[in-house]
Amino acid sequence: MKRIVPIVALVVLAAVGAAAWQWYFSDERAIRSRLGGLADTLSMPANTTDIARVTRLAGLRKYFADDVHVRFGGQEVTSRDSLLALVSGWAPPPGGVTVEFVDVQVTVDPDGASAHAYLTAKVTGRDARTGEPTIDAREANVAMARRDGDWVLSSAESEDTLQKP
Amino acid sequence: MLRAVVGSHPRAALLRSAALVAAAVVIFGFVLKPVRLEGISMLPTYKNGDFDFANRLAYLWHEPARGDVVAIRMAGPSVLYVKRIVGLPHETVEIVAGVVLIDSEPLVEPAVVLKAPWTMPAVTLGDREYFVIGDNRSMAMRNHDFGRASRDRIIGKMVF
Repeated sequence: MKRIVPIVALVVLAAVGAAAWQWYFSDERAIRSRLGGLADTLSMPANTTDIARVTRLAGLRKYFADDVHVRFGGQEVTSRDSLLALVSGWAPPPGGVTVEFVDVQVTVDPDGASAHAYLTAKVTGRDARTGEPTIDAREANVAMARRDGDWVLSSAESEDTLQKP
Repeated sequence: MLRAVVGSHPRAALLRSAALVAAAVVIFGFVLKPVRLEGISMLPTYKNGDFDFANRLAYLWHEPARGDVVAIRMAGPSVLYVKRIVGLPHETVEIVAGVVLIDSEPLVEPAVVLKAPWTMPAVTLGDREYFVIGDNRSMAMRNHDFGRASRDRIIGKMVF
């Protein structure tokens, strides 16, 4: 009995190690990490200067494919340049905003070159008048493609949770 | 000091603590989901910052009913809508001058005291669709998130 315990412990340890290894180098983890990076870039700390904002937003380029297709709240954008032009005109509130992608569900296609993510985009800010926290959230379907070894967004579409007539 | 914390029966204290933690994980993870409300769309029933629980077992034995305040998930349960059910599957919902009509009959809504004269064309709900609206209808209709929600998105009934 005493001899079995270390063997079982070793097997369990090896299984946990293998699972951790597989997870660490998986496409799913890479995609989640990429989406996390995008959310961080979109977040703006309080009182961000114009130069800091433009610098941050310039970093968005690496997250999108050239021919990215984005549909959000009735607006449609069909290239990365148009998207960046649109975003650069955005003035965040003085209190800043925090963007998070939560409840992310990733499915990697069998070819390993494309993937889909279904998530909730959550934007937390502060009301300029009352100082109260504000939350806006939208569901989104995101398609991703592997380009030059990195995962980039090839399309993104927001979805209404409650269907208005 | 340690004795004061664990008492004279450390094993029993440990078991009790483990049972308490396990019960908390089960209750708050699978039965009562804690919800902190943000925004004013459910005034006066809920104020901004109020705290409540969504009972995930409420609809185990019966389907959601009109008047229930329910939690509706987005992509997952981290961000929820909290709204009141006004329309049930197969019913026709219409809003005329701020009054909700169900199958052309005005709906009595005692919880709704803040109303603007919204007007929405009639919509007939599908097999597993519910029509949900917040209690605060004083804002412009376009600024209020409401509409049809499929049954599988309703994760529970608000407790208080």
